[in-house]
Formats: sequence, structure tokens, C-alpha cells
Amino acid sequence: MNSPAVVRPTELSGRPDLVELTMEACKMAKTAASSAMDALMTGSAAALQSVRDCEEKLDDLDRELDQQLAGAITQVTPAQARELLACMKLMLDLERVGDLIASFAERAAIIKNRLDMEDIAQLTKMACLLENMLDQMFAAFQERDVNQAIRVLRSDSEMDRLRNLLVVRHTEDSSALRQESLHVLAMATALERAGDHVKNMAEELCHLATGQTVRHLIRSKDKPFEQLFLDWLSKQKPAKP
Amino acid sequence: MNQVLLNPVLDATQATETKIITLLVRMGHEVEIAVDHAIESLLNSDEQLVAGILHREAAINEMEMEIDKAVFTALEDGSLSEMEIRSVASILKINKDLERLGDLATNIARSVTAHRALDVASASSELQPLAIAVHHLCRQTLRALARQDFTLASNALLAGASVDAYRNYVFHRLCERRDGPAASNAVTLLFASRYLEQIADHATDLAENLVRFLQNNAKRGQNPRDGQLAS
Repeated sequence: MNSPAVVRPTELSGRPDLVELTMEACKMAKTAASSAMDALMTGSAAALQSVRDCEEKLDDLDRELDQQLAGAITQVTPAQARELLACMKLMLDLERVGDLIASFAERAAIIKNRLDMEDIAQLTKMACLLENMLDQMFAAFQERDVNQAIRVLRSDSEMDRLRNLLVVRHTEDSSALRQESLHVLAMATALERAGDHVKNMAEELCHLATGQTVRHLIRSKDKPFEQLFLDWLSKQKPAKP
Repeated sequence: MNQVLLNPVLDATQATETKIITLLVRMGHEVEIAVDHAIESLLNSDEQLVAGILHREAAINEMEMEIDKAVFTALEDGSLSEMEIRSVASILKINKDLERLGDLATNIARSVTAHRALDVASASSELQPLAIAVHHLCRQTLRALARQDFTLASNALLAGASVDAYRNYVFHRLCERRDGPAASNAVTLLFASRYLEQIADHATDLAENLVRFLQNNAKRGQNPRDGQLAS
């Protein structure tokens, strides 16, 4: 099937190692999100340690890519050079996702015994959504699948909605605000920002796969920009294999 | 506009890099104005500033694409050394952060128009400390970019911590309001403080990337102002 929204990579074999490094970082971020969810629900010390280990590993991968990038770029084709630069941008976002998830998990460890079940449920939904977004992002990057990337963009709206629900829950009346509210909202904000970074990654992938940027489309009142991008893609000729 | 100090001996590669840095500094200047106006329009619910911010967004997006294209052209030329490639890679990261800051300024502008019912101006006394801290951080970072000043960039990194303290202040004021007639402004405060935090977040990321860029340049002996550069 040749659809304008699925642009297969031109070379599937002999990929530069740095692309594999980036994909490993994506998997690591997903593991961090999963462990953070576990830490929130069960209070497990092992889960919290797993989050910390993932964050450290993401920092290491970021450093490794930074160190190898300059040398690698001189030895590849221009198309591969663009791919490597896209990896650099993706890695930047992944490293920050790791930091944000770690911040979420550390706070969860401090106040887990004082959280309402409703708050735990909402935060778990957000963490689960983040994990799914990272999973979709991994699949999208592996196949240069713009459709998958668009799904990631749409998921971010849901993440924002869940965060806003928590804000409303903690501010709807005078009895709702408690000391724990600050922590809950900080945790929700950390996950929402992590979602923003994954969304950035999806935008970058769209740019890599199609050569056009999603972010700079003019927003119309009636359509979200993901829809505008899909409309624009459908008008383009299919990419040559 | 701030002038980029040039190394007196310029070869073609340095000329290309200088051109890219000049573009970046121009973009930083536009972003600084956009963020300034966005924070002001947020605090004062001033819709008159909104049109200017939206207009600036298009210019900032154009500059981002121009810088990206210049960087790729320089890389495709194949004549850059490893250190120079590191430098342009840092430039790409800074470029991305600048564009995000521009986007945030635009989001604030759109929200001021969309949420007319939210009377942010009445909550401005609570927001002001946070807004001032964020504004200061942003300005410091973008000035560091314009002057390629390592000391200023490092100080901007440290300023990020004060933003967290002011954010907590906003929340505690929120808790104090909960029993009064102004409790309905709680959501207003949270919504506005969230945008300010995001600006601070991206400004800090930009400062980090700028510090790395300037450190790399120092190793190449190309910083106009080394200040107290760490080795």
C-alpha cells in the first residue's frame, strides 16, 4: 500500500548506530513511564529505583549521541545526516521526558499515603497515556509512519484534558484545596509536559518523513492542526520509494 | 540590534557559521519582544498587544526554517570539522528552543483573547512575582544569546530555581483565597501561572544549550566574551 501518510525509510539495512541509540532511548522512556505508574499504584521501592535507573540511562544515551554525532555526520549521505540531526532533537526530548517522569515518581514516593483514590486514578490514566504515546512514537519512528505520529499528536490533547480535570477537581470549591493539591498538580504538570515533549517528537518525525513542518501550519478555528496536516498531505503526490 | 563580534580572521566556514549565528541572534531578539508582550498582555488582559504577537509568530517561524536550512546547507557542504559540527548541532537545539518560546508567547496571546471571561488582571498581584521572575530569566537568557556571554547564560540557569519558589507562592495565595469571594479566580491563577512556568522551562533549556555551545566555541578559541568560562 502506498499512502502519502506512510513514508518508508529508503534504507532499512545498515542504519547508523545512532538511530538505534535513539530507539533504545525511546524504549527506555517507555519503561520509565511504566515503572512510574507502578510506583504510584503500589509504592514499590523497586519501581522507583527503576525510574531513577531509566533516567540515568537516558542521560547517558543523550551524552553518547552528542559525542558520536559530530563524527558520524561526516560519514553519511545528506539524507542520513538529516536523520541523525532528527535523532539529536528526539534525544533531547527523550532526556527531558526522563527527567519529568523521575520528578513525578519522586513526588509520588513522598506523598503516596496521602493521595485520594480519585487522584491516583487520574494520575495513573495520565501515566498510562504517556506510556502509550511513547510506544506509538517508537513504532512511528521505526517505520517513519506519519499516521502513527498523528495519533501521538492527538493523544496530547487527551493528556491536557486529564490535567485540566485534575485542576478543576482541586479548585472547584473551597474544600477541594489541600496541601496535597500542590503535589498532585505538580505531578500532573510533570506528566503533561512529558506529553508535550513526546508531541514535539511526533512533529519532528512528521518533518523528517515528509520534509514539511506541522507546527507552522496556520490554525483555523474549525480544524485542529493535525487535521490540517493530513489534509495537506492528501493533496501531495505519494512519496517515491 | 546587538552586533555579533567577529573573529578578525574569517575563512569561508567561519563566515557561514557567523551568518547562522547572526540569524539566531535576530530570532532571539524577536522572541524576546514576543515573550515580553505576551507576559504583559497576560497580566493586563491587554488584547491590543495580541495582534503584534501573532504577526511576530510568522516571522519567528520563517527564521527558524531559514536557520535550519542554513545549517543543513553547511553540513551538506562537507567541509566542517568535528568541533564545527558540534557547534552547529548546538545551534539547531537553540533554534528549536527559540521557536518553542515563540509558540508559547503565541499560545498566551490566543488564550488572552479566548478567555476574556477570565479576569487575569484581578489576580495580577499574585502573579506579578512569578511573572517578573520568568520575565527576568527569559531576558537574561536571550541577552546571553545576543552577546554570546557565558557568564550571563550560566546565571540564567541558576535563576530557574527562583521560578519554582514563586510558583509555590502563587499556589499558597490560591489556598488563602479559597474561602473568599475571589475563590473563582483560582482557576485563572493556575491557568496563567502554567504558561509562565512553561516559558521558564524552555528558557532554562535554551540557557543549557547555550552554555554548551559557548563552551564548545571556547575550546575552538572563538568566544567573543569568555567571561569566567569553565574549562
